[in-house]
Amino acid sequence: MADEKGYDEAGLTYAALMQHYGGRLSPEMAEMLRGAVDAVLKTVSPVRDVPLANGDAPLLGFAPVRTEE
Amino acid sequence: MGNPVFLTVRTLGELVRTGQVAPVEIVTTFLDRLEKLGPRYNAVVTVMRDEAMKEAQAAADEIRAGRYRGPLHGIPYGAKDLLATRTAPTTWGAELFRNRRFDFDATVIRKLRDAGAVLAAKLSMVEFAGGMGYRQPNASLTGPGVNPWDTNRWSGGSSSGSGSAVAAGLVPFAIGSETWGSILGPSNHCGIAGLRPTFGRVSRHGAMVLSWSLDKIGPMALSPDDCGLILDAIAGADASDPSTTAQPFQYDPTPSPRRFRFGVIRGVTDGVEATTRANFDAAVAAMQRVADIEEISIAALPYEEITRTILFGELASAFEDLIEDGRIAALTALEDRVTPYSRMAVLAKDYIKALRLRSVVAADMDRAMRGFDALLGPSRPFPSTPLDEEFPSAIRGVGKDLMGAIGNLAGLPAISVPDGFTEHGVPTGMQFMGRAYNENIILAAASAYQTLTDWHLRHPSGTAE
Repeated sequence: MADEKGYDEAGLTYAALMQHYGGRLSPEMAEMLRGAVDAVLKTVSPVRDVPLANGDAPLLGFAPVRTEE
Repeated sequence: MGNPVFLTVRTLGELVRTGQVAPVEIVTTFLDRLEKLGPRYNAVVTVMRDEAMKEAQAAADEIRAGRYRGPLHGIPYGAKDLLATRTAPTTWGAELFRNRRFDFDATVIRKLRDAGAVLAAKLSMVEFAGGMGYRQPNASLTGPGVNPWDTNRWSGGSSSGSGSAVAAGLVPFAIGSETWGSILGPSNHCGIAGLRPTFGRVSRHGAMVLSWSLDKIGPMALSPDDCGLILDAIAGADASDPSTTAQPFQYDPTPSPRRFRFGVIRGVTDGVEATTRANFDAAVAAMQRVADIEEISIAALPYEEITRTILFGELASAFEDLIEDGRIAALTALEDRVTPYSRMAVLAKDYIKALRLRSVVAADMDRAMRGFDALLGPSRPFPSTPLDEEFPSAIRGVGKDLMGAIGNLAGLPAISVPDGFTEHGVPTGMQFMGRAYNENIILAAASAYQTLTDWHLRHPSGTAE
């Protein structure tokens, strides 16, 4: 469903996925995919809505690598 | 020797140490049970009779020669089939990999061998540890995990075989893994003790990756004490898994000399099934004999969505090859052949945002838990459901699991122990979730609970044969 500005993220995402993978999917599976895309966007929507400050850094486990020569 | 079935690891270990029973005898008993009863519960992928008998004989020889390795020496166990083993296929629960073999053993398997434990079976699991979107139990090459308490109901997932095999007395203990709910869920449904260690406590080297920053490996057994003994053997830093911590772990079985102090998150039972909630309330009331318990509030954040965003983002990358080349079409559950494509809708900015929120949650929760030994909650918000029904799942966004979301997001340890039964005769469980690296405290708390109740002493009918 499009937002108030007419942007339909779910529809566009679904269309992109169908263009890429739709040939593998039966009509039943395609319908299932549409529901799954909606579910993912329902998941990320409240995450996007939480305000954070610029300095709120991600919790990453990265460490530089230096192997012995 | 009497019947070793449903004896704890500690008891079996003492019988072995004192020469009252030979490892070969114990291992033979459980191998026979795995072969005879395993199919009833769809619990087993591979029984490793030949290798196990050799290891049991080697254990007996060592012990006779005075080289006793500790309480796991000569004790058989089963491993979730996402742990690489040299001597048996490792299927990840998927038909696709029915015959796939690795040329090395996962670190956990190696550590347990070093402790003298005998690998008796690779145990069933939900295909790809359940991350692909399954909605119902029939999502494994071995069929749906069957609950020993009611064979028309699910054993839980994704460590399905680990839960049912311990509950049915097919092995004294098992190894499971949890990304979100896969140790606590089957432990809850099957009425056993299951420990999710702190993130990084146990090496994942050689384990299938579902989510690099959420996956944990842990023990499932008959008692918290057994979980402690097993964690003692498998914990520790591993150069092959950079996420492992250098924080040492040594299991301390000493009962707490003081009263515990527990918190209960306000609203933690909102949306929880009625009997599960009633059993949890009764468990909290029982714990008041040994603990001070108070309600706490936490920030209003979309915990489940944050955890889900990280999971979706990481699994889309972990299984990118199988998704892109279409091999997921060979998975058992229809929804597992479709849903993975949708995970690509998680944008990089969404994933990073979730990681930023993880920082906030981890710090908030550590602050909120200061002064508490653990937070209490139902292990799962719902009990075992019928095999032919869809089950509620917070991973799919259908059903609540606040503590599961928070605990896995922040990498906190938790243990589930049984706290009652439903009107259908299947168990429910209570979890003790601790601060990072506080496994000894939650193990002591769960053990204290079990001195007040006898739920853990009951076993499914039909499993004594």
